Amino acid sequence: MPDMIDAVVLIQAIGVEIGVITREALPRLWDQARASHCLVREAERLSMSAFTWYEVRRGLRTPEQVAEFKIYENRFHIPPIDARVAKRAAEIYQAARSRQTLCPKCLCSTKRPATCAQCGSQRSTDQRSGDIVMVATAEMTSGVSRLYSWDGGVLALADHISGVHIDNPPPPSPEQLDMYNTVNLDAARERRRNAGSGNSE
Amino acid sequence: MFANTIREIRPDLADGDVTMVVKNFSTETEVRGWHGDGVDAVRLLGDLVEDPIEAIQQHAELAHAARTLAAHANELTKHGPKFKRGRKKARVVDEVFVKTMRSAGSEAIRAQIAATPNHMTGNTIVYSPVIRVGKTDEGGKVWARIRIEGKYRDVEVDQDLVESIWEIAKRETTCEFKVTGRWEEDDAGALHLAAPRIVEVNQDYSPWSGRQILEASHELTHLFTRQDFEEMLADLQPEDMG
Repeated sequence: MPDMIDAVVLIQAIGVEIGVITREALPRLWDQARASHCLVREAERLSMSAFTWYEVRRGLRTPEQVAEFKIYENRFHIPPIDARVAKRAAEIYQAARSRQTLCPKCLCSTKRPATCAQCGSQRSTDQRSGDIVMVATAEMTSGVSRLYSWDGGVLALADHISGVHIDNPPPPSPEQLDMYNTVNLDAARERRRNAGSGNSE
Repeated sequence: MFANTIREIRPDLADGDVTMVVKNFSTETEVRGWHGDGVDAVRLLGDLVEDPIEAIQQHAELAHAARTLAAHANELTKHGPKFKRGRKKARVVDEVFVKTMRSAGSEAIRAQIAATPNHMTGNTIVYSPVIRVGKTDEGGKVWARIRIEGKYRDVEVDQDLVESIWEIAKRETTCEFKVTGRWEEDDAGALHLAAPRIVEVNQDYSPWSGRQILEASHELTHLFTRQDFEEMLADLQPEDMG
Protein backbone atom coordinates (compact mmCIF):
# COMPACT_ATOMS: atom_id res chain seq x y z
CA MET A 1 0.00 0.00 0.00
CA PRO A 2 1.31 3.46 -0.84
CA ASP A 3 2.65 6.10 1.48
CA MET A 4 0.68 9.30 1.56
CA ILE A 5 2.22 12.68 0.70
CA ASP A 6 0.99 16.23 0.96
CA ALA A 7 0.85 18.77 -1.84
CA VAL A 8 4.14 20.47 -0.93
CA VAL A 9 6.08 17.21 -1.17
CA LEU A 10 4.69 16.49 -4.65
CA ILE A 11 5.20 20.02 -5.96
CA GLN A 12 8.74 20.16 -4.60
CA ALA A 13 9.55 16.79 -6.16
CA ILE A 14 8.27 17.81 -9.58
CA GLY A 15 10.00 21.18 -9.28
CA VAL A 16 13.35 19.51 -8.63
CA GLU A 17 12.80 16.98 -11.40
CA ILE A 18 12.14 19.58 -14.09
CA GLY A 19 14.87 21.87 -12.80
CA VAL A 20 12.89 24.90 -11.61
CA ILE A 21 13.73 24.26 -7.96
CA THR A 22 17.47 24.34 -7.57
CA ARG A 23 19.92 24.97 -4.78
CA GLU A 24 20.76 28.34 -6.34
CA ALA A 25 17.20 29.48 -6.94
CA LEU A 26 15.68 28.46 -3.60
CA PRO A 27 18.53 27.81 -1.15
CA ARG A 28 16.21 27.83 1.88
CA LEU A 29 14.02 25.15 0.40
CA TRP A 30 16.68 23.07 -1.24
CA ASP A 31 17.23 20.45 1.44
CA GLN A 32 13.49 19.93 1.81
CA ALA A 33 12.89 19.80 -1.93
CA ARG A 34 15.74 17.35 -2.44
CA ALA A 35 14.33 15.03 0.23
CA SER A 36 10.84 15.29 -1.31
CA HIS A 37 12.25 14.43 -4.71
CA CYS A 38 14.07 11.35 -3.40
CA LEU A 39 10.99 10.19 -1.52
CA VAL A 40 8.73 10.48 -4.56
CA ARG A 41 11.29 8.97 -6.91
CA GLU A 42 11.69 5.88 -4.75
CA ALA A 43 7.97 5.32 -4.13
CA GLU A 44 6.32 2.32 -5.72
CA ARG A 45 2.90 3.95 -5.39
CA LEU A 46 1.82 7.32 -4.11
CA SER A 47 -1.33 8.22 -2.32
CA MET A 48 -2.78 11.61 -1.51
CA SER A 49 -6.01 12.75 0.00
CA ALA A 50 -8.67 14.25 -2.22
CA PHE A 51 -8.02 17.56 -0.46
CA THR A 52 -4.32 17.38 -1.34
CA TRP A 53 -5.25 16.72 -4.96
CA TYR A 54 -7.37 19.88 -4.82
CA GLU A 55 -4.40 21.83 -3.40
CA VAL A 56 -2.19 20.64 -6.23
CA ARG A 57 -4.79 21.33 -8.92
CA ARG A 58 -5.66 24.78 -7.67
CA GLY A 59 -2.08 25.89 -8.29
CA LEU A 60 -2.51 25.44 -12.05
CA ARG A 61 -2.96 28.91 -13.50
CA THR A 62 -3.31 28.62 -17.27
CA PRO A 63 -5.67 26.50 -19.42
CA GLU A 64 -2.59 24.86 -20.94
CA GLN A 65 -1.30 23.81 -17.52
CA VAL A 66 -4.72 22.39 -16.64
CA ALA A 67 -4.97 20.51 -19.92
CA GLU A 68 -1.49 19.02 -19.76
CA PHE A 69 -1.76 18.08 -16.10
CA LYS A 70 -4.38 15.50 -17.13
CA ILE A 71 -1.52 13.09 -17.73
CA TYR A 72 -1.72 12.50 -13.96
CA GLU A 73 -5.40 11.60 -13.82
CA ASN A 74 -5.90 8.04 -12.60
CA ARG A 75 -2.20 7.76 -11.74
CA PHE A 76 -2.46 8.45 -8.01
CA HIS A 77 -4.29 6.58 -5.30
CA ILE A 78 -6.72 9.24 -4.05
CA PRO A 79 -8.94 8.05 -1.18
CA PRO A 80 -12.14 10.09 -0.98
CA ILE A 81 -13.42 12.44 1.67
CA ASP A 82 -16.46 10.40 2.55
CA ALA A 83 -18.71 10.37 5.62
CA ARG A 84 -16.22 8.24 7.51
CA VAL A 85 -13.33 10.65 6.89
CA ALA A 86 -15.50 13.70 7.58
CA LYS A 87 -16.58 12.30 10.93
CA ARG A 88 -13.04 11.42 11.92
CA ALA A 89 -11.76 14.83 10.78
CA ALA A 90 -14.31 16.55 13.01
CA GLU A 91 -13.16 14.47 15.96
CA ILE A 92 -9.51 15.32 15.30
CA TYR A 93 -10.41 19.00 14.89
CA GLN A 94 -12.12 19.05 18.28
CA ALA A 95 -9.30 17.14 19.93
CA ALA A 96 -6.67 19.38 18.35
CA ARG A 97 -8.32 22.56 19.56
CA SER A 98 -8.16 21.36 23.12
CA ARG A 99 -4.47 20.48 23.07
CA GLN A 100 -1.51 22.70 23.88
CA THR A 101 0.43 21.72 20.78
CA LEU A 102 -1.91 23.68 18.51
CA CYS A 103 -3.24 27.18 18.82
CA PRO A 104 -6.99 26.82 19.47
CA LYS A 105 -7.72 29.79 17.21
CA CYS A 106 -5.79 29.13 14.01
CA LEU A 107 -4.71 25.53 14.70
CA CYS A 108 -1.11 26.38 13.86
CA SER A 109 1.58 24.52 15.71
CA THR A 110 2.63 26.35 18.86
CA LYS A 111 6.01 24.68 18.59
CA ARG A 112 6.64 26.06 15.11
CA PRO A 113 4.34 29.02 14.51
CA ALA A 114 3.40 29.53 10.89
CA THR A 115 3.16 33.19 10.06
CA CYS A 116 2.89 34.52 6.53
CA ALA A 117 6.04 36.46 5.69
CA GLN A 118 4.09 38.68 3.31
CA CYS A 119 0.96 39.69 5.21
CA GLY A 120 2.05 38.76 8.70
CA SER A 121 -1.16 36.90 9.46
CA GLN A 122 -1.27 33.38 10.68
CA ARG A 123 -2.66 30.62 8.54
CA SER A 124 -6.40 30.39 8.62
CA THR A 125 -8.47 27.76 10.34
CA ASP A 126 -9.76 26.77 6.90
CA GLN A 127 -6.25 25.89 5.78
CA ARG A 128 -5.74 23.87 8.93
CA SER A 129 -9.07 22.16 8.33
CA GLY A 130 -7.62 20.90 5.05
CA ASP A 131 -4.65 19.50 6.93
CA ILE A 132 -6.98 17.78 9.36
CA VAL A 133 -8.99 16.25 6.53
CA MET A 134 -5.73 14.97 5.02
CA VAL A 135 -4.66 13.42 8.33
CA ALA A 136 -8.09 11.87 8.84
CA THR A 137 -7.98 10.44 5.32
CA ALA A 138 -4.62 8.84 6.05
CA GLU A 139 -5.92 7.30 9.24
CA MET A 140 -9.12 5.99 7.64
CA THR A 141 -7.38 4.52 4.58
CA SER A 142 -6.42 0.94 5.22
CA GLY A 143 -2.82 0.17 4.39
CA VAL A 144 -1.54 3.75 4.65
CA SER A 145 0.91 3.72 7.53
CA ARG A 146 2.91 6.87 6.81
CA LEU A 147 2.08 10.44 5.84
CA TYR A 148 4.89 12.72 4.71
CA SER A 149 4.67 16.46 5.18
CA TRP A 150 6.91 19.44 5.99
CA ASP A 151 4.16 21.28 7.79
CA GLY A 152 4.64 21.69 11.55
CA GLY A 153 0.88 21.92 12.04
CA VAL A 154 0.37 18.60 10.26
CA LEU A 155 3.13 16.96 12.29
CA ALA A 156 1.50 18.19 15.50
CA LEU A 157 -1.70 16.37 14.53
CA ALA A 158 0.12 13.06 14.97
CA ASP A 159 -0.85 13.20 18.65
CA HIS A 160 -4.49 12.73 17.73
CA ILE A 161 -4.39 9.76 15.39
CA SER A 162 -3.31 6.15 15.56
CA GLY A 163 -1.86 3.70 13.08
CA VAL A 164 -0.25 6.36 10.90
CA HIS A 165 3.14 7.99 11.42
CA ILE A 166 3.45 11.57 10.25
CA ASP A 167 7.00 12.48 9.33
CA ASN A 168 9.13 14.80 7.26
CA PRO A 169 10.43 13.08 4.12
CA PRO A 170 13.70 11.49 5.20
CA PRO A 171 16.95 13.09 4.04
CA PRO A 172 18.44 11.36 1.00
CA SER A 173 20.86 8.59 1.78
CA PRO A 174 24.43 8.86 0.45
CA GLU A 175 23.50 6.30 -2.20
CA GLN A 176 20.77 8.61 -3.47
CA LEU A 177 23.14 11.51 -3.96
CA ASP A 178 25.74 11.77 -6.64
CA MET A 179 29.16 13.26 -6.23
CA TYR A 180 27.81 16.79 -6.73
CA ASN A 181 25.43 16.26 -3.84
CA THR A 182 22.39 16.48 -6.10
CA VAL A 183 19.62 13.96 -6.48
CA ASN A 184 20.49 12.63 -9.88
CA LEU A 185 19.82 8.99 -9.14
CA ASP A 186 20.38 7.83 -12.69
CA ALA A 187 23.80 9.45 -12.83
CA ALA A 188 24.70 8.07 -9.42
CA ARG A 189 23.65 4.54 -10.38
CA GLU A 190 25.45 4.78 -13.69
CA ARG A 191 28.62 5.88 -11.89
CA ARG A 192 28.37 3.01 -9.41
CA ARG A 193 27.92 0.53 -12.26
CA ASN A 194 30.89 1.96 -14.09
CA ALA A 195 32.99 1.97 -10.93
CA GLY A 196 32.13 -1.67 -10.30
CA SER A 197 33.14 -2.74 -13.80
CA GLY A 198 36.32 -0.73 -13.85
CA ASN A 199 35.05 1.71 -16.47
CA SER A 200 35.05 4.73 -14.25
CA GLU A 201 36.22 7.91 -15.93
CA MET B 1 -57.32 23.83 17.01
CA PHE B 2 -59.02 20.46 17.52
CA ALA B 3 -59.14 19.60 13.83
CA ASN B 4 -55.44 20.27 13.34
CA THR B 5 -54.40 18.51 16.53
CA ILE B 6 -56.54 15.44 15.81
CA ARG B 7 -55.14 15.36 12.28
CA GLU B 8 -51.62 15.22 13.71
CA ILE B 9 -52.61 12.33 15.97
CA ARG B 10 -54.41 10.27 13.33
CA PRO B 11 -53.85 11.64 9.81
CA ASP B 12 -56.02 8.97 8.12
CA LEU B 13 -59.31 9.58 9.85
CA ALA B 14 -62.44 9.46 7.70
CA ASP B 15 -65.24 12.02 7.81
CA GLY B 16 -67.40 11.38 10.84
CA ASP B 17 -64.81 9.45 12.83
CA VAL B 18 -64.49 12.47 15.11
CA THR B 19 -67.11 15.14 15.53
CA MET B 20 -67.29 18.36 17.48
CA VAL B 21 -70.35 19.66 19.32
CA VAL B 22 -70.52 23.35 20.18
CA LYS B 23 -72.81 24.24 23.10
CA ASN B 24 -73.55 27.93 22.87
CA PHE B 25 -75.50 28.11 26.12
CA SER B 26 -72.70 26.76 28.30
CA THR B 27 -69.95 28.00 25.93
CA GLU B 28 -68.47 24.51 25.75
CA THR B 29 -67.06 22.50 22.87
CA GLU B 30 -67.10 18.73 23.07
CA VAL B 31 -64.95 16.46 20.92
CA ARG B 32 -66.31 12.95 20.34
CA GLY B 33 -64.82 9.89 18.71
CA TRP B 34 -67.24 7.54 16.94
CA HIS B 35 -65.33 4.72 15.36
CA GLY B 36 -62.16 2.79 16.17
CA ASP B 37 -59.59 5.31 14.99
CA GLY B 38 -61.77 8.23 15.99
CA VAL B 39 -62.21 6.95 19.53
CA ASP B 40 -58.50 6.29 19.68
CA ALA B 41 -57.63 9.79 18.48
CA VAL B 42 -59.86 11.50 21.06
CA ARG B 43 -58.50 9.27 23.84
CA LEU B 44 -54.93 10.19 22.88
CA LEU B 45 -55.86 13.88 22.75
CA GLY B 46 -57.17 13.51 26.31
CA ASP B 47 -53.99 11.76 27.37
CA LEU B 48 -51.91 14.53 25.80
CA VAL B 49 -53.79 17.30 27.58
CA GLU B 50 -53.73 15.48 30.89
CA ASP B 51 -50.08 14.45 30.99
CA PRO B 52 -48.18 15.45 27.86
CA ILE B 53 -44.79 14.02 28.89
CA GLU B 54 -46.18 10.61 29.72
CA ALA B 55 -48.40 10.56 26.65
CA ILE B 56 -45.56 11.45 24.29
CA GLN B 57 -43.25 8.91 25.86
CA GLN B 58 -45.89 6.29 25.16
CA HIS B 59 -46.82 7.58 21.71
CA ALA B 60 -44.03 9.50 19.96
CA GLU B 61 -46.42 10.65 17.22
CA LEU B 62 -48.11 12.91 19.77
CA ALA B 63 -45.06 15.22 19.73
CA HIS B 64 -46.27 16.98 16.60
CA ALA B 65 -49.79 17.18 18.04
CA ALA B 66 -48.39 18.78 21.20
CA ARG B 67 -46.69 21.51 19.21
CA THR B 68 -49.81 22.12 17.12
CA LEU B 69 -51.91 22.31 20.26
CA ALA B 70 -49.41 24.71 21.82
CA ALA B 71 -49.53 27.00 18.77
CA HIS B 72 -53.34 27.22 18.87
CA ALA B 73 -53.55 27.39 22.65
CA ASN B 74 -51.18 30.34 22.64
CA GLU B 75 -53.91 32.36 20.89
CA LEU B 76 -56.47 31.40 23.54
CA THR B 77 -54.61 32.08 26.77
CA LYS B 78 -56.09 35.56 27.13
CA HIS B 79 -59.59 33.98 27.31
CA GLY B 80 -58.61 31.39 29.95
CA PRO B 81 -60.49 28.38 28.56
CA LYS B 82 -60.36 25.03 30.38
CA PHE B 83 -60.08 21.42 29.29
CA LYS B 84 -62.28 18.81 30.96
CA ARG B 85 -62.12 15.10 30.52
CA GLY B 86 -65.38 13.56 31.63
CA ARG B 87 -65.73 14.54 35.24
CA LYS B 88 -62.06 15.03 35.82
CA LYS B 89 -60.60 18.31 36.97
CA ALA B 90 -60.29 21.01 34.37
CA ARG B 91 -56.96 22.15 32.98
CA VAL B 92 -56.57 25.81 32.27
CA VAL B 93 -55.18 26.85 28.94
CA ASP B 94 -52.65 29.41 30.09
CA GLU B 95 -49.01 30.22 29.44
CA VAL B 96 -47.88 27.29 31.55
CA PHE B 97 -50.00 24.96 29.46
CA VAL B 98 -48.54 26.37 26.25
CA LYS B 99 -44.95 26.08 27.49
CA THR B 100 -45.54 22.55 28.74
CA MET B 101 -46.91 21.48 25.38
CA ARG B 102 -44.07 23.13 23.50
CA SER B 103 -41.31 21.59 25.58
CA ALA B 104 -42.97 18.18 25.66
CA GLY B 105 -43.18 18.31 21.88
CA SER B 106 -39.56 19.29 21.41
CA GLU B 107 -38.23 16.81 23.99
CA ALA B 108 -40.08 14.09 22.21
CA ILE B 109 -38.61 15.13 18.88
CA ARG B 110 -35.13 14.82 20.35
CA ALA B 111 -35.94 11.45 21.86
CA GLN B 112 -37.35 10.34 18.54
CA ILE B 113 -34.15 11.32 16.75
CA ALA B 114 -32.05 9.51 19.35
CA ALA B 115 -34.18 6.40 18.97
CA THR B 116 -33.88 6.43 15.18
CA PRO B 117 -31.19 4.02 13.93
CA ASN B 118 -28.03 6.09 13.44
CA HIS B 119 -27.18 5.91 9.78
CA MET B 120 -27.05 7.91 6.59
CA THR B 121 -26.70 6.90 3.00
CA GLY B 122 -23.70 7.94 0.96
CA ASN B 123 -20.98 7.05 -1.49
CA THR B 124 -17.32 6.29 -1.24
CA ILE B 125 -14.47 5.42 -3.57
CA VAL B 126 -12.80 2.04 -3.11
CA TYR B 127 -9.55 0.83 -4.68
CA SER B 128 -9.41 -2.93 -4.83
CA PRO B 129 -8.97 -5.97 -7.01
CA VAL B 130 -11.97 -8.24 -7.50
CA ILE B 131 -11.08 -11.63 -6.10
CA ARG B 132 -14.42 -13.36 -6.66
CA VAL B 133 -17.63 -12.78 -8.60
CA GLY B 134 -20.80 -14.80 -8.44
CA LYS B 135 -24.33 -15.37 -7.28
CA THR B 136 -25.41 -16.87 -4.01
CA ASP B 137 -28.55 -18.34 -5.51
CA GLU B 138 -29.91 -19.05 -8.97
CA GLY B 139 -31.32 -15.94 -10.57
CA GLY B 140 -30.20 -13.82 -7.64
CA LYS B 141 -28.03 -10.74 -7.46
CA VAL B 142 -24.39 -10.74 -8.53
CA TRP B 143 -21.82 -10.10 -5.82
CA ALA B 144 -18.18 -9.13 -6.10
CA ARG B 145 -15.64 -9.69 -3.35
CA ILE B 146 -13.64 -6.47 -2.96
CA ARG B 147 -11.69 -4.83 -0.15
CA ILE B 148 -13.61 -2.18 1.77
CA GLU B 149 -12.23 -0.57 4.92
CA GLY B 150 -9.34 -3.03 4.83
CA LYS B 151 -11.44 -6.19 4.72
CA TYR B 152 -12.68 -8.29 1.83
CA ARG B 153 -16.46 -8.26 1.61
CA ASP B 154 -19.07 -9.45 -0.83
CA VAL B 155 -20.61 -6.38 -2.42
CA GLU B 156 -23.69 -6.25 -4.61
CA VAL B 157 -23.05 -5.26 -8.20
CA ASP B 158 -25.35 -3.12 -10.35
CA GLN B 159 -26.68 -5.26 -13.17
CA ASP B 160 -25.15 -3.16 -15.95
CA LEU B 161 -21.67 -3.51 -14.43
CA VAL B 162 -21.59 -7.29 -14.20
CA GLU B 163 -19.63 -7.78 -17.44
CA SER B 164 -17.03 -5.19 -16.42
CA ILE B 165 -16.63 -6.76 -13.02
CA TRP B 166 -16.00 -10.17 -14.59
CA GLU B 167 -13.29 -8.67 -16.77
CA ILE B 168 -11.64 -6.94 -13.82
CA ALA B 169 -11.67 -10.17 -11.82
CA LYS B 170 -9.92 -11.97 -14.68
CA ARG B 171 -7.23 -9.29 -14.93
CA GLU B 172 -6.58 -9.37 -11.15
CA THR B 173 -5.69 -5.68 -11.21
CA THR B 174 -6.69 -3.01 -8.76
CA CYS B 175 -9.58 -0.87 -9.96
CA GLU B 176 -11.41 2.16 -8.68
CA PHE B 177 -15.03 1.57 -7.66
CA LYS B 178 -17.74 3.96 -6.61
CA VAL B 179 -19.71 2.23 -3.89
CA THR B 180 -22.96 3.38 -2.39
CA GLY B 181 -24.29 2.20 0.94
CA ARG B 182 -25.49 3.14 4.38
CA TRP B 183 -23.09 4.58 6.93
CA GLU B 184 -23.74 3.00 10.28
CA GLU B 185 -22.11 3.84 13.58
CA ASP B 186 -20.68 1.03 15.68
CA ASP B 187 -20.58 0.95 19.47
CA ALA B 188 -17.25 2.82 19.47
CA GLY B 189 -18.73 5.59 17.33
CA ALA B 190 -16.87 4.68 14.13
CA LEU B 191 -18.71 4.67 10.81
CA HIS B 192 -18.85 1.60 8.59
CA LEU B 193 -20.47 1.10 5.21
CA ALA B 194 -23.40 -1.30 5.43
CA ALA B 195 -25.23 -2.86 2.47
CA PRO B 196 -22.60 -1.64 -0.03
CA ARG B 197 -23.35 -1.74 -3.76
CA ILE B 198 -20.97 -1.07 -6.65
CA VAL B 199 -22.51 1.59 -8.85
CA GLU B 200 -19.55 2.70 -10.98
CA VAL B 201 -16.24 1.29 -12.14
CA ASN B 202 -13.26 3.35 -13.30
CA GLN B 203 -11.22 1.03 -15.47
CA ASP B 204 -8.84 3.82 -16.44
CA TYR B 205 -7.24 3.76 -13.00
CA SER B 206 -3.66 2.67 -13.47
CA PRO B 207 -1.37 3.97 -10.76
CA TRP B 208 2.17 5.03 -11.55
CA SER B 209 5.29 4.65 -9.49
CA GLY B 210 6.98 7.79 -8.20
CA ARG B 211 9.62 7.44 -10.88
CA GLN B 212 6.98 7.33 -13.64
CA ILE B 213 5.28 10.39 -12.16
CA LEU B 214 8.52 12.35 -12.18
CA GLU B 215 9.48 11.22 -15.67
CA ALA B 216 6.07 12.31 -16.98
CA SER B 217 6.64 15.73 -15.45
CA HIS B 218 9.23 16.51 -18.14
CA GLU B 219 6.30 16.87 -20.55
CA LEU B 220 5.18 19.81 -18.42
CA THR B 221 8.50 21.62 -18.31
CA HIS B 222 7.64 24.14 -21.03
CA LEU B 223 4.41 25.12 -19.24
CA PHE B 224 5.81 25.97 -15.83
CA THR B 225 8.24 28.65 -14.74
CA ARG B 226 10.19 28.91 -11.53
CA GLN B 227 7.74 31.61 -10.47
CA ASP B 228 4.79 29.26 -10.93
CA PHE B 229 6.37 26.83 -8.50
CA GLU B 230 7.29 29.54 -6.03
CA GLU B 231 3.70 30.79 -6.07
CA MET B 232 2.27 27.29 -5.63
CA LEU B 233 4.54 26.63 -2.66
CA ALA B 234 3.94 30.07 -1.16
CA ASP B 235 0.22 29.41 -1.35
CA LEU B 236 0.67 26.24 0.67
CA GLN B 237 3.55 27.16 2.99
CA PRO B 238 3.85 30.95 3.16
CA GLU B 239 6.18 30.85 6.16
CA ASP B 240 8.87 28.96 4.25
CA MET B 241 9.01 31.25 1.23
CA GLY B 242 10.14 34.49 2.84
